[in-house]
Amino acid sequence: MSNKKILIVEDDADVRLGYNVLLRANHYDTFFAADAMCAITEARKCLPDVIVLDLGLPAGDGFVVLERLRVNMQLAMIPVIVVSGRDLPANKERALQLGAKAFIQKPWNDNELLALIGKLSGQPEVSISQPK
Amino acid sequence: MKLKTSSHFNRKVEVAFGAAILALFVVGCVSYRGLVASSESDRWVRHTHEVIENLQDLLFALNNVESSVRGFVLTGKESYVETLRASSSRTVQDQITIGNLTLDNPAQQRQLPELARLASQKMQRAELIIALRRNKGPQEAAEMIRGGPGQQLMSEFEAMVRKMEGEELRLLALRIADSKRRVEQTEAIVILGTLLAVLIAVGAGWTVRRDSAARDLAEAALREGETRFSTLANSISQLAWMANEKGDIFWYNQRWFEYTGTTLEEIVGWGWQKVHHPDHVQGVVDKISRCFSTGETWEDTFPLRGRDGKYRWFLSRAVPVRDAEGKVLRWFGTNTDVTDRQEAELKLALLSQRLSLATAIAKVGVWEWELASNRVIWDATMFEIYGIAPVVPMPYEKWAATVLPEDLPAVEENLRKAIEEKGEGSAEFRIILPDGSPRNISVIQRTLLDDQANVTRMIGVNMDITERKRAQEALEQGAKDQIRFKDEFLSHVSHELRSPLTAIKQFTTILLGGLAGELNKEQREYQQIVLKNIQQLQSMINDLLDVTRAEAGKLSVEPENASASDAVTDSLNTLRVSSEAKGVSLVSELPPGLPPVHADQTRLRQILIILLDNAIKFTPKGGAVRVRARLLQRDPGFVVLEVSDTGCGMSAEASERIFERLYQVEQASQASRKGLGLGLFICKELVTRQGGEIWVKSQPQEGSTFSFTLPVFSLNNVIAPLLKDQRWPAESVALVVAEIAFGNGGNLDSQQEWRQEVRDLVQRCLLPNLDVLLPKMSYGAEGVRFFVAAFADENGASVLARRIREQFDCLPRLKRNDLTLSVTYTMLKPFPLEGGSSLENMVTTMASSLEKSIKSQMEGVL
Repeated sequence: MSNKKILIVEDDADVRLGYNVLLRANHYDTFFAADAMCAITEARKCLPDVIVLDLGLPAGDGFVVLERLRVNMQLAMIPVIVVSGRDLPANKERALQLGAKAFIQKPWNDNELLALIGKLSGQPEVSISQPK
Repeated sequence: MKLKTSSHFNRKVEVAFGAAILALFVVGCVSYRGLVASSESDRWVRHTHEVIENLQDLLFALNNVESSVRGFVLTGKESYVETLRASSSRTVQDQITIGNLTLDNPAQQRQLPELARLASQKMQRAELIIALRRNKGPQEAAEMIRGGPGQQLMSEFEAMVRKMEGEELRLLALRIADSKRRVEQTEAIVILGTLLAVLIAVGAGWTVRRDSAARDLAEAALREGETRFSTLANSISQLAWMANEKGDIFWYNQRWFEYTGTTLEEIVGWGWQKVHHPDHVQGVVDKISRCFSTGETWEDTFPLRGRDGKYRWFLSRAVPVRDAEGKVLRWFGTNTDVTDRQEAELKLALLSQRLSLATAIAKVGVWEWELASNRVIWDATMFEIYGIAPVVPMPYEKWAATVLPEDLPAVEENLRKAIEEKGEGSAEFRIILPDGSPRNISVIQRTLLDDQANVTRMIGVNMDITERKRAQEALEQGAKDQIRFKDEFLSHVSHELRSPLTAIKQFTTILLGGLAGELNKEQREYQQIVLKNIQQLQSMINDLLDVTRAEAGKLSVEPENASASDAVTDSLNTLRVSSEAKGVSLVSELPPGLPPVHADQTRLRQILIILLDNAIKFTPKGGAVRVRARLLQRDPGFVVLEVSDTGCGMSAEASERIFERLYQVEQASQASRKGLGLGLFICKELVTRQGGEIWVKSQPQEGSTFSFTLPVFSLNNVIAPLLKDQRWPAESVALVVAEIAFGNGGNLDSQQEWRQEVRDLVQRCLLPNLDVLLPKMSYGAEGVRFFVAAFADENGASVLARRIREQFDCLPRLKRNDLTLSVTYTMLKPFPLEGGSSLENMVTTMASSLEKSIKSQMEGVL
């Protein structure tokens, strides 16, 4: 079985690298977009299993990406995890209303994130060995 | 003293004076003529002198020409030529002047061409000699002077001049003789005229004396009447006087002299002016003179100086006494002391002046409203405030039209009330100026009552308070802006801090996870420290955001049916790692059967974690932190949760201030780093918002106990405020129950998602003002149930039920397959609306019946 594909939409290069290390170590194929515009293009290209979407983005924010994903036949059903440093609960509510599957606040716990990605992509959960 | 005038006598005097003046006039004319003649002859003398002077000047200039030529011939110096030229032009000038002066004399005019010819010849010859001297030398030129006709020319010219002089002198002698003759004639006439005038005057004087003697007799006869009059005049309280037809006062009554301290001699005729005030006297004189000359009644008010030197005000009147022909014979006048009245009037005027000055300066407009006639009078400031041209009276409607329509009813109501209560009132309203700009006006009014205590009039003031209002608003807005800015800033900063923190945490986790190679023991330990600090930082940022929200009133709390015991257990689990690391034991005491609380689950955990975290922080190794939950003894409507530690405790002062924002206890030992000092502040906010209380009991060195209460969940308690908020009593209330049962496929997570989704779905169907989604009360593995209290009749309830069903049908088929929806409703009516039962009672009854209904529904299905 081939690896599940995860599209990361995140404008911070350091955070993108972090995702990359973490997800590849957990046997995911990673794809990246740094702004709202590229997010859709990239999603159509790679048709990911899960999209991890940051709300604060250049060229339109995460909400715009959510809306545009919903109106695209190919992409409408892809589960989206929204990640943000912004305030709960207004943003969470709005994201969920726009079809996001989950909302995680920055900075998140990696294990929680992995569990969520695993569940939404249907890949068996492989937790990184968290030392005691 | 004249008491009677006689027209016959007057005529005589008039004729005599007329004749004398005529004689004098003739004399004057004649002497004037003489004077003119003598000044004429003077002029001629001057003229003759002028002519002669010019003639002599001409002669002199020509002599100069002669000597200049000689000078040049002898010396050859050019300066002589210059002199010659100057003299030459002088001769021309003189000839012109002489010609002008003798224009009136043909004999002299005839001489002029000859004079000119001689002068010109002399000049030509002079030029000739100069040229000769220049070309041929001094010898030749000298010859020319000696041999030529120069000398002869000069003597001819001289003779000519003498002849003209002679003519002038002859004319002068003639004119002087003529003038002398005229002066002699004048003298004769003047002497004659003067004699005649003296004769007339003497004649007139004799006649007057004779008439006056006759009149003295008549006057004596009148004296007795006069005495009687004087007695009367002296007995009146006013000052009185009499003047002749010209206004010369010849009599004053006794009071006049008593008051002014003067004698008749001092003030007879127009002498009364000396007892007048210098500032007023001129006006008085002008006015009385006018009346004396026109014969109209005189009236005036002015101050008169008394014998004590003080002035008092008098109202004075004078009426003319006329003869049968209507001719003014004399004037009779009185002066009435009006000082007291005058002073009162002055005082009033001064007061009124002060008041109007004050109102003008303070920009206070004054109005008066006469109710019976509906007349409204405005002062100038009122019109200024309203920016309209003054109108008297000011129509009420015109004022009403300036008032902002939405403000008018309140202002009129205020006026009406003031009239009704016969009292005062004040209001603020807005007006629109003619230029369209709005102004804020403050009005204060008071009713005025008549003897029967009826409101007859109303007076009031208007003030333009626009600027004050604006300043106030600006100030408030400024303060608001500042707070908003601070909140926004804090919020923004906190969010931005989260991004870099995310990257740090990510990579720390990656390193710890060995994704970048295995770490040795020491490296791992250090990374753990990094991670711990990241977590601290993270919680500080969260605290900061919570405080910002709390201050903006946005701290969200969504109370529901929550288990305090679960919250305690969860929180203890979260903190177990850090407490064990510190060697502090965690103990909980949770009695079975503790009722659920009405609280926000997440916020409840947050409160517990802050309190536990603090307790662990301040408890030394080997100590214990204990959490207890129980019903509050004094009020079983509350559950109390206690967090006690065996730490250092705190002073009484610290206990009091511990919940203040940014308050931090002075730490004896540096057990751990200080936080932001926000945790307990947030706790207090959260507890208060959920309807509870928080407090602390502490003794230094003996540990502290933090306690907080939360209301026990009771539908009745929850519903009652909702009913009240909905502006009870409504006609009827429907309890709508939407139940969604999960199919077999859903796991726990998807169930949680579903709950949220269905909750949102139901929420969307509600009318914000009339329907209330009650807090969730029971979630089972099988499904979820939502209760809606709708302020609607049966029809409204069925519409709501249909809306929920329709929304559910819109969900994607894939999702819907797993779920089943059922919507039911119960009507709760009629309500107990018996007389005497208070709103509180009705609400409680209603809430109880709702609760009963919900409970039976829940039992029936689940």
